Amino acid sequence: MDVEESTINLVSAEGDSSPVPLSVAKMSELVRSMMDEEAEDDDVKEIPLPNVKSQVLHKVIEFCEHHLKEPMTEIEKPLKSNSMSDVVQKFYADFVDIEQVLLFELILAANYMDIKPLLDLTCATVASMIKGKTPEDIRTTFNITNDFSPEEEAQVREENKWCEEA
Amino acid sequence: MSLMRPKKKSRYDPPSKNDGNDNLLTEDSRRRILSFLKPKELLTVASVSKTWKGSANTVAEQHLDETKVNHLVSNDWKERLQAHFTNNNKTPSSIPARCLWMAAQVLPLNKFEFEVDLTNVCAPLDLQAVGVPLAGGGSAFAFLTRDLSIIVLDTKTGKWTFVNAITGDSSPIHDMPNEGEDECPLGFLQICGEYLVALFFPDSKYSVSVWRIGSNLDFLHHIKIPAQPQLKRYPVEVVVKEGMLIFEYQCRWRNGMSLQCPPGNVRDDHRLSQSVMDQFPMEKCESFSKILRADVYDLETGKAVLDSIGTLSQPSFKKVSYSAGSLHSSQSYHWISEGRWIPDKDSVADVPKIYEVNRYVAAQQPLLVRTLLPSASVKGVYSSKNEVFAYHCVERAHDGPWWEHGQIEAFLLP
Repeated sequence: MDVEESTINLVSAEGDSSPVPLSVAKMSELVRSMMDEEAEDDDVKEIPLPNVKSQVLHKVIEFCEHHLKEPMTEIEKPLKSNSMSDVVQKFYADFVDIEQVLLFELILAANYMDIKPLLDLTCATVASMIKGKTPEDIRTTFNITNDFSPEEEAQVREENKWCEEA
Repeated sequence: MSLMRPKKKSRYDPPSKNDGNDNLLTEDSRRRILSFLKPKELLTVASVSKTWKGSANTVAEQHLDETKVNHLVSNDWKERLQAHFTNNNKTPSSIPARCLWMAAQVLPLNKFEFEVDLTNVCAPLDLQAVGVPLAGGGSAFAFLTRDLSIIVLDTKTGKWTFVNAITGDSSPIHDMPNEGEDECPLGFLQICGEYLVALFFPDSKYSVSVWRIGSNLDFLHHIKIPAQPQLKRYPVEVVVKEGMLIFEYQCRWRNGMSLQCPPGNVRDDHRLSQSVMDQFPMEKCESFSKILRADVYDLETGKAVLDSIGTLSQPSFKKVSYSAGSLHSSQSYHWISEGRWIPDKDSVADVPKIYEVNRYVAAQQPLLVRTLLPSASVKGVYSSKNEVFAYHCVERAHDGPWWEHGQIEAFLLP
C-alpha cells in the first residue's frame, strides 16, 4: 500500500476519532513530530489531540485537505484590507466566516497543532476585525473590558498623541 | 408550522458575556494577530485594555530586531535615538520602534540603493521636532514624518516620492525645481515641525522650497535668496528652527580694516567706517574675523524677517547693556530662547524697545544672534564664540550709511 494513501486517526478531546490521510495529517508539525518519534512503532494508528474539540478538529481537517489541493496565498503583512476576501482565496475567506468563539478556538488549535497557514489565516482574520476600528469598537467586537482607569486612559492618549496629531 | 432556520452567527457578532472572547487567546496568539497590523493600528489597540496594550508594545518592539533595523539605520543613529529617548525620559522603544517598524514594513529596500550610513545625511532631522530619518546616503534620502508618511528623494534622478505609510500608496512630489536634472541641485533637506524644507543651489543661486507635511505634501512657496557675490558661495550654516529658516553667511575682512556686509544689511557697498573700526579693539580682530550675516525667513509666509534692519527711524541712544541672566547656554547647544537686550537707565526716556535676542547655532560655530525688533538703533547683534557684539549707532548721519558713527560693544557670554 502506498504510504501517502494510508490514513491515521486524529482523536479529539471528546474522544472522537477522525481518519485522515497522512499527507493531510502531516500538515500539522505536531502530528508529524509525534509520528517521527513513534516511527519505529509500526502500529501508530492514532494521534490523541486532547486540546482540540471535535468541532474544531473537523474544521482543521477541512482546512488541511483543501490546502493540499489549493495552497493558500501567503498573507501580506501588514494587512492591506479588512476584508479577508481581498487577502486570500474565496474558500479561505469563507472558511473563516464563522462564529467568533470557533475562530478563536481555531487559533488555539492551529497553534497547538502547529499548522502555520491556518494560524496565519485565523490570526489575520482577527486582525482584519480590528483594523480600522476605534478602541471602543474593538472592545465591543470582542467583549473586552476596559480596565484602564480614567487617569491611565488619559496617559495612553497622551502617549499616542504624537501619532494622532499629525 | 414553518421551521425558521437559525441565523448563522458571524464572527462579527459580539460574543455573549460568558463567551470565551479574547480570554481564549494566549499572549502568543495576540502577538500573532497584531503582527498583521500597522503601527498606527497598534497604537489604537494599545488603548483597548492593559493586556492588549502590552501585546501591542511587544509587537512594535519585536520589529526592531537587528535584521530589519540594520538595513535602515546605522548603529550610530540607533545610539542617537536611544540617547534621545533616554534623555527625555521616554520609553526608548516606543516611538522609534514603531517608526522603524513602519519603515521596514513600507519602504521597499530594493527601490533605491540605500546606503546605510546615516552620517551622510545632509541634514539630520531634529528628533524633537518630528520624526526619524530612515536612511540616507549617496543615492537617496528618506524621511519618516510624524504622521507616518515617508518622503524619499532619489538624488540620482532628482525625483521625489511621497509614501503614505498607512495606505502604502506612493506618489511623485511635484513643484520641485529642477526636477529630473542629471545632477540634483539639492543642498539641504530638513523636516522642521510640519514643514519640509529643501535648499537648491543651481548656478550659485539659492532657492528654497517649503512644503507643509500632512497626509499629502502641500507645496507652500518657493523662496529665492538674493545673490550674495561678496559672500562665500555657500552659506556657512543653514538652520531651521521654530518656524524660521536661517541662512548664515561668512563675511570677510577687506583691506585689513573694512568690513563687508554688516549684519542684516543686504547692500554691497556698505563699509564700516574707520571711526567704528577704531573703537573696535584690534585684539578682537581675530575672533571677529568671522562675522555672520543672516537671512531669516518665515517658513509659513516665505517672507524675509530681517531685511528691514538697515532702515532705521527710531531715535538713537548711547549704549545698550546686557541684562545679566537672560542669556544662557545649555551643555550641548548654546541656545538662547528669550535673551533680551535692554537699554540701561542712561539711555534716556525715549529709548525705543527691548531687543529680543535669539541665538541659533551650535557651539562649534560662530554664533548668530538676531534681533526680533530691529526697528531701533541696534543695527545688528552678532557674536563670535563666547562673545556677543551689539552694533549700533550714536547718531545717524543724514546722507551717509547709518553706521557712520556707530559703535560696537562686546559682551562676554556667561
